[in-house]
Amino acid sequence: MLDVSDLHVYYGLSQALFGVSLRAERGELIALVGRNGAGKSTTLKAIVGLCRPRRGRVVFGGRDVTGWPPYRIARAGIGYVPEDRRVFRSLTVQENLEAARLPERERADGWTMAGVFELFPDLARLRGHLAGRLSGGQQQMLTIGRALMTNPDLLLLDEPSEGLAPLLVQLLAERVALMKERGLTIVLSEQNVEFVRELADRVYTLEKGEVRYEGRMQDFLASEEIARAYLGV
Amino acid sequence: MSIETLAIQAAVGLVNAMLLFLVASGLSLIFGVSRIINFAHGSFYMLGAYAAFTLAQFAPTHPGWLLLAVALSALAVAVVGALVETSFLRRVYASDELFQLLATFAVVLAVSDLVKIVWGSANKSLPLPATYRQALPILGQPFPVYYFLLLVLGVVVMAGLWWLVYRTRWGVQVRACTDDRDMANAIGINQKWLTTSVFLLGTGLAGLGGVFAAVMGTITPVMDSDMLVEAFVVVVVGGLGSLLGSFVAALIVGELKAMAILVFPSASMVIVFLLMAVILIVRPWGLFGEAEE
Repeated sequence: MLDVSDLHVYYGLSQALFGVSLRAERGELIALVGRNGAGKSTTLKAIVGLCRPRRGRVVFGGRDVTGWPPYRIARAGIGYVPEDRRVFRSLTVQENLEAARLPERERADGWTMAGVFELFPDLARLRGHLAGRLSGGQQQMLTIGRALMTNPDLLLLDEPSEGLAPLLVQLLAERVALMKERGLTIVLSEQNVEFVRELADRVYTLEKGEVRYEGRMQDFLASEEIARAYLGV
Repeated sequence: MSIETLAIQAAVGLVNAMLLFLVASGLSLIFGVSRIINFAHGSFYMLGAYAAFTLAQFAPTHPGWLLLAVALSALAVAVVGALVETSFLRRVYASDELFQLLATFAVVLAVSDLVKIVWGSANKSLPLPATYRQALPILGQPFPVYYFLLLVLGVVVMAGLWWLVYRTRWGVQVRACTDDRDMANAIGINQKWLTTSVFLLGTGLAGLGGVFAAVMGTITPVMDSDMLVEAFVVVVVGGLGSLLGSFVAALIVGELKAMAILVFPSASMVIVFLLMAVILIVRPWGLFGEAEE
C-alpha cells in the first residue's frame, strides 16, 4: 500500500533524512521508533507532502505521489495526525471535523462525524467548544478524529502519546487498536516502544536520519540488545 | 454643542464605520488565507467608486438603477480582483514578504494610472436621484435618505458575510486556513481556489465600500491610499484575520473620527493613529487577534 524508497530530505543546508525506505502493507500497523530528532516526523511529513524530498520516491496505492501538494495526497487517501496537536484553534470541535470532511471520499461504511463521536465520546460532549480551549488529550483525540473524517486508507500518527497522562495513553492505545480492526493501515511514530509493543506488526528504528532496524515486532522484542535501547528509558 | 449635533455626528460615524468595516473585513479575510499584506486593496475600493460613477450615468435620475449600479460595480470589482489574484498575485505567495509588498504595490501604481487615464485627474461626484437626496428630520436635524439606504444595505451585507464565514462549509475552510495553512492543506483543502474565492469576496467588499464612499462624498484619484491607511488601522487594531475584531475596530475608529471632528477638527486622523499606537503597545496582536505562540 505504501512504498517509501530512499528518501533524502534537507532543511536548508542540513540534511535530515539519509535514504529512508519503508513499506506498509494493507491492514498493517507499522511503528517508527527513534529518539527526538532521529527523523520520524520528517519522514511522515515527506510522505504527506509537507516537505519535499530532494531524492527518493513515495508510492501510495500504486501511484507515485512524490511532490504532490498535501491536499492531493490527502484526497488520495493518506490521513495525517501531526505532532504537537495542531487543531484549528479558533474553530469549534465540530467545525474542525467539518473542515476535514472530503465529499469525494465519503463511503457507506466510512467515517462520519457520528462515527468519530462514537470513538471519542468526549468530543461529542465538547462539540461546540473552541478547539484552542481543549486540554492536550482532547486536542489529540480531535486531531485523530479530524484525520479520520477524510476517510483515509492510510493513517500517519506522529507521536500520538507524547505528553499525555498514563490513563489517556492507555485509552489512546485502545482506540488505535479499534481503528486497526476497522481495516485502517497505520504508520505510527513513537520515542518509546512501550506504547506500540502490543499494537505494531512491524518496526522500523530510525537514528540520525537512517533506518537502523527493520523487522517484525516479536523479533524486535526478542532481540534484547536492540529492544533495550528503545524500551522504557 | 447640543445633544442633537452629537446624535447626528454619531450617525455619520456609524455609516463611516460600516464603510470601513466593508473594506477592512475584505483585507482581513484576504490576509487570513493568503498571508499577503495586500496594498492593492485600496485600489479595488477606488475602482468600485469609479465603476459606480460610470454606471450611474446611464440613468442618473432613476432610484432603482442606482441600486443596480451599486451591485454591478461591486460585482465587477470582485471579478477584477479574482483575475488579478489568479494571473499575478498567486505567483508571489511563496516569495519573501518584501517581494509580496512590491507586487501588490505594483498593482496600486498600475490601477492609479489607469484610473487617471480613463476618468481623468479631476474629482467626480456620483449623480444621486432626488429621492435619495431628500432629508428626513431626525431629532430636528435634516438627515439625508441615502444615509439610511447605506445603513440598511450595509447591515444586509454584513449579515450575509457573517453567515458565509460562520455558517457555511466554505467559511469553515477559510477559517481553518487562517488558523493553520499547512494543516488545512494536509486534510485535503485546495487552497488555490479557496484563496481565489476569498479574493473574489474580499475585493468585492472593497468595491462595495468604494461605491458607498462615492454615494457619500467625492470620488478622487487618491481615495485609494486614504482608505488603505484607515483600513489597515482597523485591521491592526481589531487583530489580523479576525472578522469580529475588524467590526469592533471599525466602530471605534468610525465613531472616534466623527467625534474628534467636533472637538479637534484638524486632528481627527492623528487621534485614530494614537489609538492604534496605544493598542499596538498594549496588545500587539490587536483586540481580537490571537498572540503568536
